[in-house]
Amino acid sequence: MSEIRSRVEQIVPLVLTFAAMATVLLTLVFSAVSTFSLEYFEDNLAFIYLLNAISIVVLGTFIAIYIRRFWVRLKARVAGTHLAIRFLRTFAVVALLSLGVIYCFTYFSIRGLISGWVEKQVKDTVSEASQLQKSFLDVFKERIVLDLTEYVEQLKTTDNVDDIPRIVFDARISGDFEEITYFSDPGSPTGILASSAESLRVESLVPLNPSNKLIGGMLSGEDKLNKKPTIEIFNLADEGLMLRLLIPVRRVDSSSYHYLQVIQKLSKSSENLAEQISAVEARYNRLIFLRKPIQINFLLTLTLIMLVVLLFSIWIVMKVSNRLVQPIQALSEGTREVAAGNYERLLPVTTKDDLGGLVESFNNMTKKIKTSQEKIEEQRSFLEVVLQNLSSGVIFIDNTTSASSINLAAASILDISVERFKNRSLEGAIKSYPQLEPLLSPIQNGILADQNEWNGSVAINSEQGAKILTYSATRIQAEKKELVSYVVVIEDITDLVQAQRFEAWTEVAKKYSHELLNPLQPIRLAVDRIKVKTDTNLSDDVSRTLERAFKAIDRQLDALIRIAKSMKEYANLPEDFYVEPFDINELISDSIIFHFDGDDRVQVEKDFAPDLPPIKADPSLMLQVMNNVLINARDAGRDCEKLIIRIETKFIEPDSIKLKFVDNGPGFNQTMLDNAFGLFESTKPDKGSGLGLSIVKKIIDEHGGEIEVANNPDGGAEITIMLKLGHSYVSG
Amino acid sequence: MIGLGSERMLARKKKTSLAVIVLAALLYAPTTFGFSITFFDATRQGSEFRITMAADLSLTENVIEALQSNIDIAIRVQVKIYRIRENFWDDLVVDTKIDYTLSNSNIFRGYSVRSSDRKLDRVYDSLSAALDAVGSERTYKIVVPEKQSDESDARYRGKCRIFLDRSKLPSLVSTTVYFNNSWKRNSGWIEFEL
Repeated sequence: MSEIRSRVEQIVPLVLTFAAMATVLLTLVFSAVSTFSLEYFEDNLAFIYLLNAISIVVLGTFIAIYIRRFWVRLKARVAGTHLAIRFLRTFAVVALLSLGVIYCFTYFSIRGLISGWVEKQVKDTVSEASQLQKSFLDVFKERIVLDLTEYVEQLKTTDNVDDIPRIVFDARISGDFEEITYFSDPGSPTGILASSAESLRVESLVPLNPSNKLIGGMLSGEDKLNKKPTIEIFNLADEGLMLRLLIPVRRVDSSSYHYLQVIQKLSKSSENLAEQISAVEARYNRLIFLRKPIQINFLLTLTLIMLVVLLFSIWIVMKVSNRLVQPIQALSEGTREVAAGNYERLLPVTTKDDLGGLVESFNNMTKKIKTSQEKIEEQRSFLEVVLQNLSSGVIFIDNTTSASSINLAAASILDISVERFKNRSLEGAIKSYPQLEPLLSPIQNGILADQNEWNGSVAINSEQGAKILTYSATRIQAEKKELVSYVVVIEDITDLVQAQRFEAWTEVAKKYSHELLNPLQPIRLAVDRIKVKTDTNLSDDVSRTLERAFKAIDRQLDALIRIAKSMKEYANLPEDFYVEPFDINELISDSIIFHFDGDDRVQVEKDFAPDLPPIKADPSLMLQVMNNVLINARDAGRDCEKLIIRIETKFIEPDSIKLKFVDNGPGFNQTMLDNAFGLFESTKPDKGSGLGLSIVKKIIDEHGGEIEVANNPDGGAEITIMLKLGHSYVSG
Repeated sequence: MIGLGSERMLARKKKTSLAVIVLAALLYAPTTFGFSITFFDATRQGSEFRITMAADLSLTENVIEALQSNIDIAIRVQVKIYRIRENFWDDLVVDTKIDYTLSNSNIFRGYSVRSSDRKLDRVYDSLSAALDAVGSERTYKIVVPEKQSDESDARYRGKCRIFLDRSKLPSLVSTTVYFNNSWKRNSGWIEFEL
């Protein structure tokens, strides 16, 4: 359906265009041909006007349509419209001037030509007609007058009234005239003296009277006293053209006139001649009268033809200019699409001229841009892949301090969403992620200070805990380009720092545990000896004082020995690993019995997973882990009236076991959370060595597991340990 | 006190009013030009109508000039008869036209008059005589076709006029005469009912 519609939409304008062109052509040809002959022009005048009017209306409609199209394009700022309008305007001015000159020239030529042509024809015709008719009638008149001279003389002199009919009859017979009537008064019916007619027709029974014009004509001329014969032609019904001659007969006995009217039928040839003369004269008169209308009509036709030609030219120019600017419009649209990033569209090359070459060049340019763009895109994708696979975090920041790109590593390190962070200004990012302020502020300051390179290390608090990050920012500026951007590389060195710290503490512990233990044993022996050797006869006060002092020394020594042993234990951990499979649930149960059996203040809730697979690890070290965790829980909850410890074990697919210890104690404070596994970090100032969780962490690490500490949302501390079922580790 | 602007406004209003009056005058101007019907009588006998009329005809200089220049002038008598109907528009049953062609005769040095009904074909010495002949009292017998007059009690109305038929002029002249009032010769309709 739509195909038919589009076909119709293509065909209809073509048909209309051809119809319009045919109409205009017909108008011009017909108008031109019509002017060859005046008769033809006059006969077809209405049709000429009609054709011209149709052409003007059709062309006017087409032009109006084009003007509307141009207007719409002008409003829509379609490329090439201004050029087309300028082209059209120039042509219209040139055409108007040319046609104006032609029109003026033709106008004056036609006017002069028609005037001259009519004048000449008229003069010739008039002269011929007048001469011919005059000569014709004069010849007739003179001949008849001559033929009747004898009878006129008789009528002049006769006194006998009875002789008059005979003379009249003889006169008619002598000249074979149609009718002769002798009047005493030609204007009165009673003035007929005698009449003779050849035919016996009814009309001839009553003689014809001379016309007033004929009677009046006898006194024309310079001699008003003597009447002269006059002659005229008249039409007698059924008889044809007749000559009527009125001869004045001056009576000899008086000065009064009688009149002899002679009617002579014109011969066929004479009749034809008279009619021809009449026709020529009529034509002359018509031409004289029609001269001005002819001029008006010719000039009107000329005006219409000129108008048709002008409109036709404008229409053609509109079409041509429209066609001319089409490649420019296509180029404009193509440029716009290329600017919008569409390199797929190639423009059709419709002509082989300069514009066609331009379109071809544009297409080549588009192809090259497309190829370059594809290469750039390829490189960009490659870079993107590289960036995303980097373990270091990378953030690109543009000159407006907005993060134009961020890789997954950076998002992971900073614990942020790529989508939320991308395209945000650093200022906005700080507002959204206040915990990143220690990192983002120095980066922003460096950008604002227009530094080329700067770096630093910062500590941030994320949901995953405290992190130590290093950043290195570099200003990037393309050669001879104003565009500036920055690349920031971020490294999470928390584990590294912690490992280094543990390493250092291990060394310290190794060295100082030995150094501490060595003097402490002799000190304890010496103190014990002093106790034994102390005089028993000392007063009670002195004895009590000494006893308190000895107890204090013992406590302090115990504490020091415990610390020294813990340090030794911490330092020597990796050295004595013995791996065997065992049931972790059982191990935890043993530890519980060992520490809490019979202790009513502590309630242990076990949520052990049944059928837990055996774990391969060092059972003694694992027992130490459980002991330390449980002791920590007990010590932390020493102020609780009823300490509840919930222990959960769970198998995690595919090969891990999760242990969770939750108590209802006070939980960890923030300092502990930030550095839970640091050495000598303890919430038990009087009892703990601050090495319990450090040892736990170290054992778990050495077993390839993970440990996390947190506060339970319902209160209390929460320690989660993830252990591999069959791990492989390298003994330290 | 009236300011200059007000005076101009008043003048413009006057001009507008004048234009409106002229337009109205043109619209409602009488349709009678030069020709007038001096006698009119209409009788009916069954389906036969007899229209008797006489007219006074006068031509302007432009028309006389054209006539003397051998341009034939057609004077037409037109009679229209309608059958009156109650609930419908009146039905036109007869539209009769009798043309009198007035022409200059170069041979006879006079003016000839020929009627389309062939009842008049004469040459007159003068134009006034020719016009008198055309305008003289004459009776036209008009018969309504049987098909149209089958109702015996049918009532009719009619109208009649005499006018210079400009459409019969040469086409070269017609482009100008239609815009020239001197070529408008029309008695206007005389209406009657029988």
